Amino acid sequence: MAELPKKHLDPKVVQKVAHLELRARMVVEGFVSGMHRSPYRGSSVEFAQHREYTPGDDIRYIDWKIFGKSDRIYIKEFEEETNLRAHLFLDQSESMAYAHEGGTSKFDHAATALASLAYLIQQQSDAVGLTLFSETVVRQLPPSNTRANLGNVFKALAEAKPTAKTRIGAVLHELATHLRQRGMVLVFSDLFDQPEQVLTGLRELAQRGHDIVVFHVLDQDEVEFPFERMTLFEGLEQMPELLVDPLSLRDAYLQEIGEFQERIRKGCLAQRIDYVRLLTHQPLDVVLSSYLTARTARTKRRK
Amino acid sequence: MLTFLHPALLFGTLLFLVPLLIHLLNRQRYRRREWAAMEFLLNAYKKQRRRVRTENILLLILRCLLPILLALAIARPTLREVAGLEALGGGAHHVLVIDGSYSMGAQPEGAQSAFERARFLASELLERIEGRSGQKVSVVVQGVRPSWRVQDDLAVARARGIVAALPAPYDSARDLTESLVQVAELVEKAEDPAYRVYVFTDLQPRALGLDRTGKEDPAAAGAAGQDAFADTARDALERIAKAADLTLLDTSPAGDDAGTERIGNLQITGLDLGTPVAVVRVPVPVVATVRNLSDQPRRTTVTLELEGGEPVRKEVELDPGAETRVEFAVTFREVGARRLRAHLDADALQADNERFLVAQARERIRVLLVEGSSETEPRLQDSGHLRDVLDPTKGQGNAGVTLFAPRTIDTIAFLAGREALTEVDVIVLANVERVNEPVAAQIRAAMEAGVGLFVMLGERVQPESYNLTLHALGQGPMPMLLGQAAGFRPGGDNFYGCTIETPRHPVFADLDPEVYREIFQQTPIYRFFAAELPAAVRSPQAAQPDETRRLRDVQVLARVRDPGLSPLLVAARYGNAKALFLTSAVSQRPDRWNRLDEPWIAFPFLHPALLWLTVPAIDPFQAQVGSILTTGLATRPGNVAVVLPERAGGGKVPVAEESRALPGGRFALPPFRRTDHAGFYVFDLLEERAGESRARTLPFAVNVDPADGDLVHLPHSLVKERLGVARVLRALPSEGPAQLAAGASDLGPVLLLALLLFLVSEAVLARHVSVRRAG
Repeated sequence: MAELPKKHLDPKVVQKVAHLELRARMVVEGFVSGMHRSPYRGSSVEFAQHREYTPGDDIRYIDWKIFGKSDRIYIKEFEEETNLRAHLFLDQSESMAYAHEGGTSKFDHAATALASLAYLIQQQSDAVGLTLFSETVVRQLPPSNTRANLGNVFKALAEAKPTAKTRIGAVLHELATHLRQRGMVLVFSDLFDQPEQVLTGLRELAQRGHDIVVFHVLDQDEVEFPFERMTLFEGLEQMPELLVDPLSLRDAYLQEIGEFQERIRKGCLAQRIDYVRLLTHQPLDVVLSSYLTARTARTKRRK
Repeated sequence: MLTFLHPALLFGTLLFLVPLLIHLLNRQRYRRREWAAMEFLLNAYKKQRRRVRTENILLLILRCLLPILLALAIARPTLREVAGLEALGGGAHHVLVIDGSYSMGAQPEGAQSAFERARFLASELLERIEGRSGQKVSVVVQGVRPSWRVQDDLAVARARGIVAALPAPYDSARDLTESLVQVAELVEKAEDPAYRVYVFTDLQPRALGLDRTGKEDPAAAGAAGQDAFADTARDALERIAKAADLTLLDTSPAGDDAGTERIGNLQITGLDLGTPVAVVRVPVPVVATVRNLSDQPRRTTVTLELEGGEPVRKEVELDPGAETRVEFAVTFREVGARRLRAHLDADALQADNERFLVAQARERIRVLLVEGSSETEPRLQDSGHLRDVLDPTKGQGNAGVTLFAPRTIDTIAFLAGREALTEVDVIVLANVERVNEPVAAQIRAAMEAGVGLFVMLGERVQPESYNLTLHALGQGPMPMLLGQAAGFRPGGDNFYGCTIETPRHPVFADLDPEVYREIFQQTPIYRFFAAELPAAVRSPQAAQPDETRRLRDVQVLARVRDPGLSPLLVAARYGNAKALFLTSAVSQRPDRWNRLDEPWIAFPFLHPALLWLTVPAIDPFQAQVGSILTTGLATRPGNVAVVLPERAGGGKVPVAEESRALPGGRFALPPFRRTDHAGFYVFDLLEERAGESRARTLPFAVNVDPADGDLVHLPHSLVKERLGVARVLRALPSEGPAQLAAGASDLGPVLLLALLLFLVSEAVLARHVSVRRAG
């Protein structure tokens, strides 16, 4: 196992999440396979049993040898193995650097979550790829299920620093073009861009058959705006600065950012994209566990 | 017009800076914070900017207004109904007129003097208006003349300091008319919006222009009729009352609002020599006149001090209103100007308790007799008889026997012009044939210097010459034009008598009792020169003072009882001297024109006549407070300075003005005008004589006008009625200064109410904003 950088992989989180996965393999598998039951076709398929054909079965799996011998139509069933290609996208624009006093930045929080999931995915021998982006794609590691690749992912996360502006819509469009093999796309970002462009990029990914989960990373300050004293807000990503009494703008600001979140959330739901709000002050294990639990339940209902 | 009771507290309005500074400081003291969700903040800001800014400005205004309203309310604003320009300009111009006459110094025992009270009230008034905005102050003190101590000054505190430091009143007896006229002219210009004129006076009738005659009760005189008040003071007050708010403040320590009360006062009204001329080593009477201006009999001590001598005292008792003469015998030991001072025991009014006199002590009276004839025998000379009358001892007697020192010269010597005519006291032309022009000029110059002229006209006189040189078309000392000799044969049976026209004239002072005047009038006048007086001087009333004329006060003292009633004795003033013209010369010649040489007539007539001529017409060394001190000098004075009397503060002040030349080659002593107080003003100067500088002192006696010492206090009702003044008060109103004017209302409660309203508004708004922003 690759050495986990402590910066982005909180052992306690991983332990909690892993413990959950280990104790309930079904949950982990369900989390992965339930989501990607049919679309994925791995090359290592092991035969399990036959069953009688029922209308609607794929005719490609009819065992024609039995049909020739017994004139009965049987379908071959295989022991499936997960063969997931997970693309993890992390926004490293400057806005992700924000952190409330004494807390972790959005970027670090998102990286931790990303590393945790990457670790879990690699633990079940699925391929994990990493894409760091800001206004363009900054760095890209293709998906692989090797431990070396996981190490590279951790290393890339450790080296990454949030700097430039965000153009998440354009980047998603670009990534959708290049990601030929379908898989799972996990997007970690504050999504501080025009909502229409963000949703457009996500839509393009979804149309190409990718299963998308959006982790909307926000700081506690950004959703609560708890400031009281006169403050000079210095805009990140080349935004202007503003000297203002925060109390006088609190309501209006919360309404603005609330509408933004709601718009993103609804846009995701409309495209069957999972939307997870990842607040930096919330424990990751709780958030991920809650999400995985909910996802598992949803997968079971579909079965 | 808005004014404030406590204007100094208006500085409290500056406290509005506190919330403003807090606001600005808060804007400076902010935290920096990098912010990612800037776009949402900017959007919120764009939407809320107008409302937030409005709320903030409203709160800031409310918070700034609170201290302003509080300060305004504490400063007690008052609103006064004003009209016209006052409403536009705001402020007021306070003109304080303070009576500075010496009666204001009257101080009954244990009481405050009227002047001290005026000073106190004026200071109090200025203190009240000191902090009010837009107040202008003028202060005029009526002394010898109006003295504007403060003029159009906005610095009320400074004016108050000046008023508080006003010295004791002047020794002037002027009424307030001159100041009131100036104030009337000031307020009628109406450049300032609101004039308030306050007149601080003791309500003495004289101060208000009451024209009092005799010993009549001034209050009764005032009640008797309008004429009791002089028009000028009343007119000035009426003019002031039309253009300004006028208040008379009664500062007198006597009486009350309704009654009349007189402060008892003893005064010396005169200090004079009992004889016209003082001669050294001869005792002369010095008379002090004392008057009791009180309602009670009074006793006092009159003390006479002669310069360098022991004081002499005399007790005197006077009935109410009585005046008495207290005579002292004084013997001068030295020639020249001698200073005498008489004073009484201290009483309520000090200024008129002393009197000053400068007496000119002479060795003898120098008389220059110009003999008209060429005779050597005294009995046959024209001047021989006069010389005998003036000095019967023929130069052997002492001054106690004869005051005169006659010296005779003949006509030729006189007409040669070699005599120093200014070195004698009287020139006598005894039947001198003619007077040439150079000598006439010398005579005129001598008369300018005060040398008397006695002209006796006889048979030798050429009237044309006299008319030409001494009448000189009315410019010379002889007022009449001589005609021809008229009358009868000298010594014959036909003659005229004469009529004394002015029996009280000093020339006839010794013709007393009346029988001597009868004898004089019955004395034969055989011949005389007819004389015609110009129309302008035929009557005494026509002898008006006229600065452009040297010849004044022409009087016919006696007339011949001829059909034309020709003038026999004519008196006139020319320059600073006197002249007598006798149209019928006195002599003992056999062909004499009259019999005035008789001893019982000659002595009582010629002695007083020559004494009267000896004393200059104008004695410049006796003056009243306020007079200009000057005299003529033979040489141009240099380094002139004046030693002031004690009442004027003492010390020595230089006189900057230059001496100017006078007619006859004389020079004027540079005038000294600051004679505000009584006492001796002594000129120190250098005289250039014969190439040498000689120090000289010239003392002047300056006395008060006794008229101001009658300390009667008029009732207010009378003053209001006679002067048309609506407001006569004994003190400033006890209310606040805002109540000095009618129609003032206090805005303090209104402002406090507004303050409360603003306070509640601020609290409600702040709470609303706070809840909404926190929520």
